[in-house]
Amino acid sequence: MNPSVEDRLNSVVRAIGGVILPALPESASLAREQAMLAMGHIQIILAQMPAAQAFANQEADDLHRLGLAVADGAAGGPVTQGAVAALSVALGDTENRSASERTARVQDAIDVVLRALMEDGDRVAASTVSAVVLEQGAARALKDRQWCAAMGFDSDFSPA
Amino acid sequence: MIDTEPHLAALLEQRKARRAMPPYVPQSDTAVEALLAGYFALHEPSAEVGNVARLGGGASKEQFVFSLARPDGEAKRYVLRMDALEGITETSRQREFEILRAMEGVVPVPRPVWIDADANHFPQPALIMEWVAGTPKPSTITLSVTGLGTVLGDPLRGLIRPQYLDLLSRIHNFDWRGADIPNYAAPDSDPKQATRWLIQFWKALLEQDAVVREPVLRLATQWLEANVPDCDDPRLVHGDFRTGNYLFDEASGQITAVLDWEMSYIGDIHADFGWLLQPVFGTKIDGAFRVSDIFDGPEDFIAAYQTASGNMIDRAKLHYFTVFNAWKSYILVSALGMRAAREQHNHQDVLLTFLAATGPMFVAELARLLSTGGRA
Repeated sequence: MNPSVEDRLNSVVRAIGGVILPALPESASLAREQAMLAMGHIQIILAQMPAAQAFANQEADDLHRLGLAVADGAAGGPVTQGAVAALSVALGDTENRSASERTARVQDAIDVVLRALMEDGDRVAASTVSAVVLEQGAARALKDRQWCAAMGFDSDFSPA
Repeated sequence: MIDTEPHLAALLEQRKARRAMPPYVPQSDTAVEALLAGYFALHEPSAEVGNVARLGGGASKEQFVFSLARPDGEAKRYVLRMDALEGITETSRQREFEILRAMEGVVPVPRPVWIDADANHFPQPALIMEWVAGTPKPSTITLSVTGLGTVLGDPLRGLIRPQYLDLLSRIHNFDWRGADIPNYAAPDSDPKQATRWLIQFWKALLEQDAVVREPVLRLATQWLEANVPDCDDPRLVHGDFRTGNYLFDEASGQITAVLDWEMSYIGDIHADFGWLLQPVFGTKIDGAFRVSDIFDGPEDFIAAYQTASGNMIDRAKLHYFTVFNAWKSYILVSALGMRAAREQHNHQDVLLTFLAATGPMFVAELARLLSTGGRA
């Protein structure tokens, strides 16, 4: 059998916490800080790992939905029309692409539309697109914050 | 050239050249000792370097404490503060040296002594300042990532509060026009210049370093450019005067030094408030937000500051800079920090990727603030 990823990462955490950290002198403050951060990172990765692919897929799906809404709402002159056409291509070009690739491509294409709307976009359409970006952006950020809760920075979400 | 302060515009150009460089190798204590010995052989040949040790904390610079023994038997401690190739901020050691020198006698600061702004001797730009005794956090806290969420607790809160207010007031009321800070440009061509410069600098960093194109950030950039408020009376803005960025004596609560001036500039004091009022820089105890764990929420902080300083806080400008600072914070952690980590151009990649987890908090805050149509 092969050792599982979980078993290997857990053994790394034990090595850092049980052997490496105690061997570091108190004066090695940066090394101690880095060792503790490395342990924390790995422990959080271990907790996230079973859901990591589903999380990436969900993010790509959310961006796809936002992309569709932006393409649907945007209107304006030739710059905006060209940007919307490029976004539509990005939204349709999903075959053989990983979730993170799909997310990045759609984000890039949305960004071009948002810049185009400032250049020659219809004002009402730009306002509509802004509203949907903010609404869906807030919803997406909520999921991202929950995903990162274990890092301990976000006082609205206590670490699991 | 970007429409920002000339010194910062030059920094933006210089950093492009560093992007293609190979991974950064952190300096060992031994290597730093040799560097320091070589430096002082030129600048103070009779002195002897010793006791070199790396300092923890911070998220951008390599820092080492060392002693310099002179023939008369005096041995003083100093701190070497040196850039990595890239980091969570993009700042100038030359400016930091100038502002530390200018603030001596105004507020307690580490005295800057030597500067190698162009990396003529050290591998990266570096400054050397005197060591100041004190701690950035209570000793009961073992791990605090750059001081975020530091709980001072009682009685430190009460001891530090009046000093903090006095120091922030002194910074904002400092006569910068009479100071010798040649690499800080005076934004006096029009009332919007200070903030326009600020926005263009950070926008350029975002464009250079973004690892993803976050749609909410694009809207925030557009909103900030379209709504620049007037700043009729530019002041010295510290840029990061939160708990964690000053030293204090734990027994007495006496503040011994104000640190981390690297993001300081001449501009609108509301920027300091937009920064300090961010949830990530305070604590939340029993559901109540405490500003830097010192003040009982934003209103307590603002009222106390106005009384101490004589400066009034304009709510519309505060809103603008609340948006600005959420935007800037995202750029720091999710653009500069992540880019530096991906390029392996920093000595604390593991910290930078950890801090990047705060990015969604700033996106959420921006979405909330921009959804209100320009009001908090």
